[in-house]
Amino acid sequence: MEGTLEYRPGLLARFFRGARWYGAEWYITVAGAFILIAVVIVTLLAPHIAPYDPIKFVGKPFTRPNSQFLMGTDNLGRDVFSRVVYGARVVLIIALLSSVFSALVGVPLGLLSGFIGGAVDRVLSLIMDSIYSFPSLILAIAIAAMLGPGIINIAISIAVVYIPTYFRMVRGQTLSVKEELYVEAARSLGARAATILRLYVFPNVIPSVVVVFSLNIADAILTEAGLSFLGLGLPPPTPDWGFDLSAGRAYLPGGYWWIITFPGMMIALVALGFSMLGEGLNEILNPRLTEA
Amino acid sequence: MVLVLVTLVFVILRVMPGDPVRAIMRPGAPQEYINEIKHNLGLDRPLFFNFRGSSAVVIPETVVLRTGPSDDEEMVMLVEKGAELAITDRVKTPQGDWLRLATKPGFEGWVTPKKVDWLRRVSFHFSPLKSEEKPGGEWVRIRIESFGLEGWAPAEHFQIKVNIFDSQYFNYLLSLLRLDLGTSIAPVRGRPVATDLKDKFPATLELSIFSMIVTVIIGVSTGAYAAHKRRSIADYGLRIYSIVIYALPVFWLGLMLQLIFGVYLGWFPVAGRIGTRLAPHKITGLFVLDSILTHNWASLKSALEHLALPSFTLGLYLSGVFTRLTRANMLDVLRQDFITAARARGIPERIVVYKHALKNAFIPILTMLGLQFALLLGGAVLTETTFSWPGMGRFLVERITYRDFPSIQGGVVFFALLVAAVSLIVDVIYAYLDPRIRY
Repeated sequence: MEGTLEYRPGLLARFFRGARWYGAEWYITVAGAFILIAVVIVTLLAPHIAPYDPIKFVGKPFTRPNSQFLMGTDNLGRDVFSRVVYGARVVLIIALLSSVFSALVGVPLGLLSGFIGGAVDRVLSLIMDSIYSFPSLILAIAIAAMLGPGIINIAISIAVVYIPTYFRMVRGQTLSVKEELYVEAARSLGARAATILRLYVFPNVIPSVVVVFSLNIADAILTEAGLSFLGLGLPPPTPDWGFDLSAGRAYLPGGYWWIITFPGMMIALVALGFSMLGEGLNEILNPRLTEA
Repeated sequence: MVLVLVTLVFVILRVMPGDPVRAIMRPGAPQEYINEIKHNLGLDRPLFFNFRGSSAVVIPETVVLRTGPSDDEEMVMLVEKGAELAITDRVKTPQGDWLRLATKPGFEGWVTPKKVDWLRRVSFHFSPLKSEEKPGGEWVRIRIESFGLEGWAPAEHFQIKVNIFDSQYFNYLLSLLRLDLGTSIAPVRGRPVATDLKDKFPATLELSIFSMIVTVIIGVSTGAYAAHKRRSIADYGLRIYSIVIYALPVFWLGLMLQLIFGVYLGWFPVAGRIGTRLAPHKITGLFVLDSILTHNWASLKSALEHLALPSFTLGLYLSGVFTRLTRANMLDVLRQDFITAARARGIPERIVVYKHALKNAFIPILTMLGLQFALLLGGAVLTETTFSWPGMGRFLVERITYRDFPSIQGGVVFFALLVAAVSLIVDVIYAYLDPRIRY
C-alpha cells in the first residue's frame, strides 16, 4: 500500500503513523518484536555474552548474585547467567522446529480438508478435534515419554499437539474463501483444483497462519519448558531453563531464589514476546476480528 | 469422540516408534531378552487385526511342545487331543510352520520333570498330580491355576481358529469396556492401574475445584471491571495482565509463590496435601469435604492451608483467559437494548453493569469453563509436580520415570474420558441455561 504513495515517510514517521492507525496493538506488536530481537541476538551471540562455560563448575555452589556472577551460581557452582544465556538456544530451536513441523502438517491438511470436503473432511476434523480437546501437555508428555530424549523427538511431541490449531484455522478459512466470487470465476475458467488452492486460497490464509505461528511458538516454549521441568527434556548438563527450574526446586527451602528466578523469568519473557507479537499481528492483519 | 481419543492414545503408545521395553532396559541389552520381555507383556501380538489365528485345538492323541521352533529344541510339555491353546506367536522356518502356544489358566497336562523344578522355583500356583513314563522320557502331570505355560509345536497338528479381532487394539478396547486399565509393570508389578487412579483422582479433583473457584473469582471480577472502565488505564492494565499471566510458566509461578509465601513469609506449607497424621477418615477422598463431614476441624484447617498455594497458582494461571473472555462478553452485552433500557430507567450504572450485564455474560463463560478444563488438567500436572501434590499428574510423571507404560496409557485414557465427560456435561448445562439451543 506504501508503493502507490509518492511521499515516502521516514522510519520514525512510519512508526508513529502505525501507532495512529492501529492504536495500542501497534505498541504491543512492536514491544513483542523488540523482546524477540533481543533474545535472538543473545542466542546468536551466546558464546560472546556468557562469561563462563555453562556446564563447567566455575565458582562456589550457591553464591549469591554479585559482580562476578551476575545471577549467582547453582548447586553445582555453575554460573546461572551463562546457563540462562545458553538455555535460550535449546528452547528457541525446539519451539521453532516444532512450530514449523505442525504448520507443515496442519496447513496442507487444513487446506485439503476444507477444499475437498466430504468424508475426508469429516474424518480429519474428527481426529483433529479429538487431539484439540485433549490436554495438550499431557499428550505431549505421553509422546515424549515414548520417543525418548533428543531435540527432534521433543520437537515432534510438541508438534503433534499443535497440528490441530493450524488445521482448524486453515480449514475454516478455506471453507469461507472457497465460496468467494473470484474462486468461482477461476473455477469457471477451468482452473485446476491445485491451481485454485495455490493461487487463490493459500494466499488468503497466510496472514492467519502467521498469527497462529507466532502464538504457537509461545505455547511451544511453555510446553517445552513444562516437559523439561518434568524431566522429559534434553538430558543434563545441557543448559535448559525448564530443567534448571526443576533442579533448583530442591533447593527452594534454603531460600536460594536466584537459581529458579532467572530461568523462569526468561521463559516468561520469551513466551511473552511471541504472544504479544501474535496478539498484535492478529489485530493488525485481521482487523475484522477487532471489537468496535 | 472418546473412541477416537482412545485409539489415538493407543496409536501413539503402541504404533509410533519408541519401544517401551527398550526404554526400560539398559542400552546394549541383547535383542533376544528384549523380544522375550515384549512377548511376555503381549507387545508382539498383532496390533489391529489378527490373521495368524487366535487359538488352536490339538488333533492327534498327543503333541509335544518344545522350547523353540525346531525339532532339535528341548521338550517342555505334552498336550492331549481336544485341548485348546492360545496362539501367541507364529513363525515359518525351513522346518515348517511353527506355532507358539500358551495354555490357559486352569490347565491340566504333562510337563517334563525339569519344567516342574522350574515351576517350583517361580510359582506356588500349581500342583503335581502324578508321574508316568511316556514317549520321550518321564512326564509329570500337573495342574496350574493362575497362569499358562508356553511352548512351540508345528502348526500341522492343530486345527487353527482365526478371530481377526483377537488383537492388541480390540482386546484393549474390550478391557476398557470392563473398566480394566491393565496392571503396572513398575514400581509395583501387577497392581491394577485403576486402583492407583482411584487413589489419586480425588486429590486432582480437589485441586481443580478450588483452582476453578479462584479462576472464576479473579477472572470474572477483573473482566467485568475492565469492561466497566473500558479504555481506561485499568482496562489496558488488565489486558496486559491477561497476556502476561498466560505467558508465565505455571510451575514457575508456583515456585515463586512457594518462595514468597512459603519460605520467606512462612504462611503456607509448600508441599503435600495435608499435615502428617491429620488425614481425615476417608469418605469421598476429598480432604476438605471429608473433614467437614467428620467434623474434623484440625484437618480442615490443614487441608485448606495446603490447598491455598497450589489452587491459587493454578487459578491465577487460568484467570487471564477468563479476564479477557468476560471483558469481551460484557462489552457485547452492554451494547444490547435491555442495558440501555435499564440505564434509561435510572438504575445506577454499577447495578446495571454488575447485576444485569454480568448475569447475561455468564453463559459463554460457563462454556469456556468446560473448554478450559483441558488446560486445567495440563496445568494441574505441572502444579502438582511443583507442590508435590499427590494427584494424577504427579502419578503420571512418576510412572514415566519408571517407564510403566500401562499406567501412562491408563492415565492418558482416563484424562481423555474425563475431558469427554466434562464437555458432555457442559453441553447439557448449556442447553439447560439457554433454551434457544437444541441438539
